[in-house]
Amino acid sequence: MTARDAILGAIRAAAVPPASAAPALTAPAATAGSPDMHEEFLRVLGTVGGRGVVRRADQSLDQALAALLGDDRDGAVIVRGRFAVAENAAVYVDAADLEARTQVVLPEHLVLVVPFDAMVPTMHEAVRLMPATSACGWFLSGPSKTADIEQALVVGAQGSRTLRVIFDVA
Amino acid sequence: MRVALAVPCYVDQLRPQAARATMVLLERLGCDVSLAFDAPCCGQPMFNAGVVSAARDAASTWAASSAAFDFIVMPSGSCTHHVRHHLPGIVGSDEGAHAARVTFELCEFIAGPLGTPQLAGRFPHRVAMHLGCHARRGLRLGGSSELHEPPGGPMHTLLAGLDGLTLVPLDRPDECCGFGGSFAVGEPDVSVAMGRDRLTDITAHGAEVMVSSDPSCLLHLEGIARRGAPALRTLHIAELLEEATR
Amino acid sequence: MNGGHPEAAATFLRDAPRAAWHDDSLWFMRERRDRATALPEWESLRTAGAALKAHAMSRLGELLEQFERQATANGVTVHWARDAAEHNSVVLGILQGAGATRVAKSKSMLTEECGLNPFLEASGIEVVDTDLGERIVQLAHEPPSHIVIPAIHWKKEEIGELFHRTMGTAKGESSPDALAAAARHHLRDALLHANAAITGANAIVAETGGVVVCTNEGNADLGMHSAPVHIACVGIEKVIATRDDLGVLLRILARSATGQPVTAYTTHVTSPRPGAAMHVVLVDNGRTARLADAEMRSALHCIRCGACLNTCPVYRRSGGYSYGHVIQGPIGAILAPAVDLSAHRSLPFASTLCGSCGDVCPVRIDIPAQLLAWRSRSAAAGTLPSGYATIFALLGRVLSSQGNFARTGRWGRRALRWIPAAWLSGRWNPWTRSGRELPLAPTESFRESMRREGRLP
Repeated sequence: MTARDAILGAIRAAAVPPASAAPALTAPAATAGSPDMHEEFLRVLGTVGGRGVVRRADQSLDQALAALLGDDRDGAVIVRGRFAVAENAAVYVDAADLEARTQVVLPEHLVLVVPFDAMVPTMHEAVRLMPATSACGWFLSGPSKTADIEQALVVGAQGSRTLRVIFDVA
Repeated sequence: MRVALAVPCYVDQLRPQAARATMVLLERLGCDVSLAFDAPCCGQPMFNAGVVSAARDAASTWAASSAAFDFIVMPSGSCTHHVRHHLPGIVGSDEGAHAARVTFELCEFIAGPLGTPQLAGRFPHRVAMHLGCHARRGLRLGGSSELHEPPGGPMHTLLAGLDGLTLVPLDRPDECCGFGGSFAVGEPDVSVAMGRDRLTDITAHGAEVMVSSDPSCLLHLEGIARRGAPALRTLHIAELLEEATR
Repeated sequence: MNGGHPEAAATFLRDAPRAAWHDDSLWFMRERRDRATALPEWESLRTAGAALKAHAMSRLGELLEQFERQATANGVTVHWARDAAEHNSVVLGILQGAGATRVAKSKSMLTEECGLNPFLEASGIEVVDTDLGERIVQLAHEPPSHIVIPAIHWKKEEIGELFHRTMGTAKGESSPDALAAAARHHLRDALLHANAAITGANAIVAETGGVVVCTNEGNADLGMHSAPVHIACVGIEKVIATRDDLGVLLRILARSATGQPVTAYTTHVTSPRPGAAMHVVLVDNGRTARLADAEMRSALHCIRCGACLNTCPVYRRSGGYSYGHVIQGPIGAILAPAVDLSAHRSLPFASTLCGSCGDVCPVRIDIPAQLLAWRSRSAAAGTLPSGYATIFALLGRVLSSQGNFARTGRWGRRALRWIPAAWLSGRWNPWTRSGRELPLAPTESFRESMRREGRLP
């Protein structure tokens, strides 16, 4: 008997009674209808060690990048984020938009450019926006970090040392 | 209201003053207190040690004794929790289900069936409240910080309503004291370490009195306090309420 | 295990300042969790977490097959392994087939459970654990002492000394920033030059065929997207049905684990990148036996967040190694007995049944109820702690009638009053041995006083 057959057989033999699926959950109205999800996103992004801006109407994207990056411009890689999640400052990046998958983690400085309107309140809505045919996708929330040494937060563990988000008004 | 006083085994032998205070307090609140409830133990010590067969006789005696009463009051959250949640499964009879239905922890009874969530009384001291874990997370007689609930509950409300009483805030308001039944002797080092930490939290906030609705927690904490914090007065909630409402 | 948990805990507590430091470190995590989970919908999220796991367990075979179909269609090779040995040999086979000799591994409790590292090393394969905490304990030749924070028991000065010895950092350097920077250099090198990456999985999604990996450091991503071969080692209980379920899981996991709203990197990978290979090894190793055990089944819901460890007053004061099992704390205490009840006989008793673990569990596993159930199975199996069977059988007889009890109680109180305290409090007495006085025995029991006053016949 193959391992596959043995395991599936043991599962059948366990005869677990049916259990209904998880109830559909959305965040309560307070969060979902929040007047400024961008404000919430940027606040949370600050708490997870990232920085973000909304591009002003009088700025070009280049100017906004220059202002946000300063001296970190060298070594910065700019990638497209598909959408953002207000509750946890995560930005969804899909491998289809990258030259290499390592781009989300290898650069010293990572910049995510996200369309201003592409914002959802919570992960409940976010998972439904993941492309159905994605080969690989990420929710990125702030830069790489560790607290493995006496729980002292150190930003810049093995991945990017900084993570910046620009909301781009199309 | 006619109520039976159920005195847990170790309270009868080692803290009779808590049983007496419960009786006096209930009578002062207008209850007709019967002492005819005749079972020594609900079976919890044996059950929690895994020896369910040895718990059966005690639990059955308990359940049989409950048949004659509509309200049974116990000065112990832990024993009440056992009677309500485990005893029916151990004895497996209607008597067990009846016992579970009619047994109340003292504060729960005063605030609930007796309908007096606050008592007129005075206790001018700084008091730290230690609600036993079975009362808090088992019977839900107080908020659990894990569930983001405010402290609350009948014991908290009764204490907060007494004149002159200051409830001292604790750093870890609902941390276990480390008694845990057989745990106290099976894991003595962790048990005593937990008790010491609990007492340190209590004394560091300037409490003069520590009060609990669980005499088992008191037995353990008092044993440690007699070495480390001799100035702390340790009271059962019945003793405190009885003294405050004299 | 000779003395089991009590003895190991006593040893841990001998260094009182260190034990207090350990307790505080974990309480800090508990408080972070409290703040991060203070959402109006938190309790309904826990209910949804419990439901999605119960649902997945009720359709486990079907979901694993769906996952396999999806993943295979996406170009992933799916393997099945009945036990640890089969898992290890499947992984070795993949590595040897690819000619891989240097492996960068990210966090995986399953590979710890299976003893993968020593197995691979014995076959000449170098394995570097690339999570910083795991690397610390690997360099020290220790297992993790916490499922989420493997080196929680290490002080920064000791890590400085370890890194000085193994990575050549400056003698006496103990700043977390400097040590993490040295580790970054060391681990990036290992990650970028490995010829295979091994990861665990926080979930696999039947609907998408995707493997979900969550890290804060980014090590799993650096490894899996650089190496020509990625192997994900996954316990079969990690499968969830839909991406909606994933949404719930991702909301509860990091909040419960570290008090973050989500991990820095949450990767959903369904296909290997062009030119690379991806394998998923689905492992049973006792999980189907657990599935067949209705009373204990829900322990399979565990998402390994570690919240029950952080909140457990016993874990905090006894340390991860006192459990003698790959998974520590309350969840370990209900998982280990299923592996070997006799060897882990002390673990169901390493709890005061305070209930805190049950209240923090994001998938509502009733850990206290399972601890109690293991205690009663221990009685049936004859694996109770020494003396318990006799003592509690005797106590049960004493407590079954008022007459027996009153007589025994009277003699007990006399003994407490008359026998010298020094003798009663000898080393033999666990009540007093660690710094706790015996109760003061009253002259009269409550019932005796009621009889004297004429209120009882």
